Formats: sequence, structure tokens, C-alpha cells
Amino acid sequence: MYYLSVGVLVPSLIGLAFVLPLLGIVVKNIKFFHAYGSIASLYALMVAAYNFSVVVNEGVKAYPFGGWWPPIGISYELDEVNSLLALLTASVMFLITVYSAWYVKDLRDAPYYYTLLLGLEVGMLGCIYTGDAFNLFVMLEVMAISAYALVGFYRSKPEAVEAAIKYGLFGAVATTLYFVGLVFIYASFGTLNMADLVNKVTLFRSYGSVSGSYYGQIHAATAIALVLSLWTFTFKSAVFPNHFWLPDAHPEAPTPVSAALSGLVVNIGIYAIFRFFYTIFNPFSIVRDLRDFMLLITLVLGLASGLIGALMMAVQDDIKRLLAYSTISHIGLVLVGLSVGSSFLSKPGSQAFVDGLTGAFYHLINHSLGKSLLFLAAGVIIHMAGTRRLDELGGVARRNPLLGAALVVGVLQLLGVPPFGGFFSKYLLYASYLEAGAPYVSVAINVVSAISLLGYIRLLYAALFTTPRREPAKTSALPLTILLLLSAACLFTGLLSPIMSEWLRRFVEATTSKDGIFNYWLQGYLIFWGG
Amino acid sequence: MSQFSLDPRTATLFLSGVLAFSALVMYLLYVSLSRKTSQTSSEYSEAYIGGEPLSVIRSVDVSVRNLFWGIVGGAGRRLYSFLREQMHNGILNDWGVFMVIYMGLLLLAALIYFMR
Repeated sequence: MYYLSVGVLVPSLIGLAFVLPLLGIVVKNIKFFHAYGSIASLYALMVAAYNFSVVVNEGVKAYPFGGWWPPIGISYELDEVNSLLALLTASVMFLITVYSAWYVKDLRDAPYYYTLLLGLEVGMLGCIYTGDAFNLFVMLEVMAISAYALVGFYRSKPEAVEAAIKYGLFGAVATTLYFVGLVFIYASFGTLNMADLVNKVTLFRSYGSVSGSYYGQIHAATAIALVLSLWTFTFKSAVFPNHFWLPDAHPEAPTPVSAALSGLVVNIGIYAIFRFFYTIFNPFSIVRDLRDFMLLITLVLGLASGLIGALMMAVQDDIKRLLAYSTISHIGLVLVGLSVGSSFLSKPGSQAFVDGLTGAFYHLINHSLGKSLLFLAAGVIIHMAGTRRLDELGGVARRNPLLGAALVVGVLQLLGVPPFGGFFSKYLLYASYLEAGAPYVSVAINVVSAISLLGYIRLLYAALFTTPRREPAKTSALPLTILLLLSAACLFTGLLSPIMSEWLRRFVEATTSKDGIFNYWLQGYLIFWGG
Repeated sequence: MSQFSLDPRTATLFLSGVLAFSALVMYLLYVSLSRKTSQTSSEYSEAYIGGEPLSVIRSVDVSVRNLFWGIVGGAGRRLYSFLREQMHNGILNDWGVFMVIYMGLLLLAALIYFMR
């Protein structure tokens, strides 16, 4: 059975986004656009939640676009992991869009702002839902172009324009390299459909496949394709040394957009690495040696990223820049968790393997919630203090207990203090490397957390304990309600950690096991046979 | 003999709850016992340091901010000069060097894999 809800979300949401500039010609009331953005985002959340419930109850689901059977047509395929990430993305984006109604309340360009914000959401959801490697390229571009425009949204600010140009320049190089990688894959395997690639790379057979047989030297072509793809994905997730664009780009965007970029957009690169290294070129594939070696490289990059992000946090003088470096550090830790699947460290299905991946996704969720909370709280702090400079914040968060509490919750979540979720995800990452017989990595995770404490203390000190230099501006109930919701989510991810880690463990096992990978291929083929 | 064991995550949650409860009890005790029963003079709260008034002592103290920069800047001067001036200097050419080296190393790894 085709699941229309799997396929309908992305095209309908992009339709809702592109109709906005046209409506802007007719409708002049800015409140209309705030309501429109929030309703469109709520719609995305509802469909993502429905898709998640379908996958949890019934297993992997797919949808062929235009009735074209894969691998001829494009298909979307949902399993436990990507449906959960889509739900996380849609939930946080909904809160960010509602928050935007306060943050950009007097913005004349509101139709364009919401077009780009919904475009960003479409791009992210498309990257997560897609079951086609070429469509992933298209959706990466949709997401990236929205992100470039949003970074340079304040076009009268030279810093914003400069950051957008730098981001755009390197971003274009990254996606082009991924495209070249796709050329190698297509030339060797005759297909870009992920399920079909699983069939050829893992099951090593081409019968029953419309895309035919293999062409040329597939090992060499796959090696080059993986190198180019990994470079692109580490750029998208801002992993060292492809992270340079992030500390410039994220702070210059409007604050709700910074929350989306730091809390959600970087997840896409991590998800793509997971999809490539655990589903398509999985531990059972014919290129597993290369895959294992590359996962060791990502381990080193993840640790370097965590360390450099944490060190750089301590010397920032801009609240948003400090949070941007914190993103680099945390994404590094997530990548460390994702790297445990190298056969040099663990066997597929082993305790270390499952714990590491569970920890990686758990930390991804915790980071998304915590970082969105901190960026949105920073938006209120900047509004009240009238500056982004830490030395001039004047302890404004102390004037508003709810804001102060939200800031503390966000910091504790990211720092990994119990009972918040960040502690439990870091614990899983730590435990997985102990089980894998690599205790030095566990120690390194703790060292990164300890160094990042310097930056977080500086943030708390500036926002809570310094003396005000002038009377802070008033704020309204809407942003504080959003902060309250995100704070509650951070607390629940910790208090419900036994349930959450068990769920995530089940999802990881279902997706990365031999049966799970076989099922991913099978569902893609069931569509082929009209199933 | 019955065995009682908790997994580390549940134990952490349990201990966090115990600590939070203990903190609440201690706070309530503090609030209930610290009720002022007598008036004190303004000199009561002032520190006595060599007979100097507090304003003099305050003028030579090290602020938290300066202490922070003293430690971070002092301990990591060479490290930060590299991280800030060589790596994160905002110059595209310098970023490009790191990114191209990374790409080169990845290609080298792929080449080694293919040649072995």
C-alpha cells in the first residue's frame, strides 16, 4: 500500500511556502503572515507525527512519486530513525515559527521571511524522508539556499552579507562535490535509489533490478563517491575542519533562524552520514573495509570538533557566537557516537555498537532541544539588553525568573548534568566506548564536556550575575511560553531516559540490523512490484 | 539471598531526586531558622581587614571577569593564538587550506584502500 502521507508533506509544504510572496502582494496585514507561518508549520508537525506513528506501528513505509516505480522514479522511504528525526525537526520548527511571530513582529519583509523559513523546513524534511540519493542532493540545495538567504536576511548589515556569501560559496562547492560523487555511483551501479543501492552493494545481486548490472571498477568508484559524500556531509554538519562557516553564519541570522540552523540544520549532515554508512554502505556491504576506515576518520574528526568547539567557546564575547561554537562541539560528540560502528571498534549488533548509535541519536535530540532553547532565550536576552556582547548583558536574565530558569536549564542540558537528557546521552556515548575497549575516547568525551564548562559559566555569569548598566527592555509572554515548553522538553528527555533510551535502542536495532537493512530494500521493492 | 541492583541511569535519576529533595529540605530549614530576631548595626555586615574600610579593600580586588581571562588567556596563550589567528581568522583562503588538506587526506585514505 502506498502511504500518501509520506509523499504529500514535502510538496504541499513547498506549495504553501511559495504562495506566500504572491499573498504578500494582496495582503498587507503582517499578523496574517505570522498566523500563516505557524499554521503551515503546525500542519507539517501533524503529518510528521502521523507518519511517525504509522512507522512505529506498521514498520518501514515508502511512497513512489508520480506513480513511477523505483528506481526509475523518486521514492520517499521512512524507517524508525528518519521518521523520528522528521518529528523532531517538525516539532522544533513549529516552536521556532511561533516564536518568530514575536521576534519579527514589525518586519516588513514577513512574507519573504516565512517563505524562506518554510523552505528551510521543506529542505530538511525532504533530506530526511528521501529514499533517493539524487533527491537528497536536490533537497540539500533547497535547504541550503533557504539557509544562505536567511543568514543574509538583514541585508543592510555588512557582517550578515559577508557571512552569507562565505557560507554560500563553500556550500556550493560542497553540494557540487556531492553531485560529482553521485555521478560515480550512478556510473557504477546504474541507480541512485537507496533501496536499489542496498540491493547491489550489500546483497551483491542485480537480478530483479530494473537498473541492470554493475559497470566498471565499482570499488574504486565507491571509494571516490564516499570520500566526496563524507566531505559534503561533514560540511553540512559543521564538523572540523569543515566548520569554519558556522560561527560566522549562525550568529548573523535572525535569532529564530539561528536556533533552526544550530538546532536542526546541522542534524541533516549527521543523518546523511548515518544513511550512507549504516544503510547503503552498511557493515555487511562489499565496501565494508573502506567504510570501517572512514568511520575511524570521523571518530578523529568528531573528537577534534568537540575539543575545538569547547575551547573556542571560552573566548567568545558574543552570546550567539558562543552558542555557535557549542554546536560545533556537540555535533562532534554526536559524530563520535556514530563512529563506533566501525568494525575496528565493535561488531554490528553488539552492545557497544547499539549503545553508541543510541547515544548519538539521543544526544542529537538533546542537543536540538537544548540549543534551540538557548538560542531562543538568547533572542529574548538580546532584546532586553540591546546587545549581543556578553560583557554588556548586565545580568538581564535575572530580571525575568522564567528567562533565567530557561537559560540555566538549556546550559545544564548541554553540559550534561542530571536529571537532564544531556547527561544520559553523554553517559551512553561514554559507556559505548568503554564497552568497545577504547577508554581513551570515553575520557576524551569527558574532557570536552569539562572544557565546555568554561564557556557555559561565562554565559551564565554574563546573563545572570553581572550588574545592569541600563533599564532592560520589556518582553512579552509568547517567547517565554516557548522557552517554558522547550525547558519542559529538556527535563522530560532526562526524566524519561529509561523509556527514551529503550525506544531509541529499538529503533537503532530495527534500522541497522541485517534484517532492518533487508527490510529497507524490501519495502523499496514492494513498491516496485505494486505492493 | 536477594540481590538489589540499579542500572546507572536509574540510579542517577534516583540520586538526583534525593539530592533535589535534600536541597529543598535544607532550604526550608534555612528559611525557617534564619528569621531575624534582633536588629543589627550597619557595621555588623562589614568585614574587618586590618582596620581598613571596605571601600579601600574593594578597590584592589580582582573581578571575576579578569580572573577568567587571566586563567584562560594565561594558560592557553599559545593555543589560542593558533586557534584564533591561524584557524578562525575569517579569511577564506586560510579556511580553504584546512578544508583542502582534509579532502586530500580522505582521498589518500581511499587510494590506500584501493591499492592494498
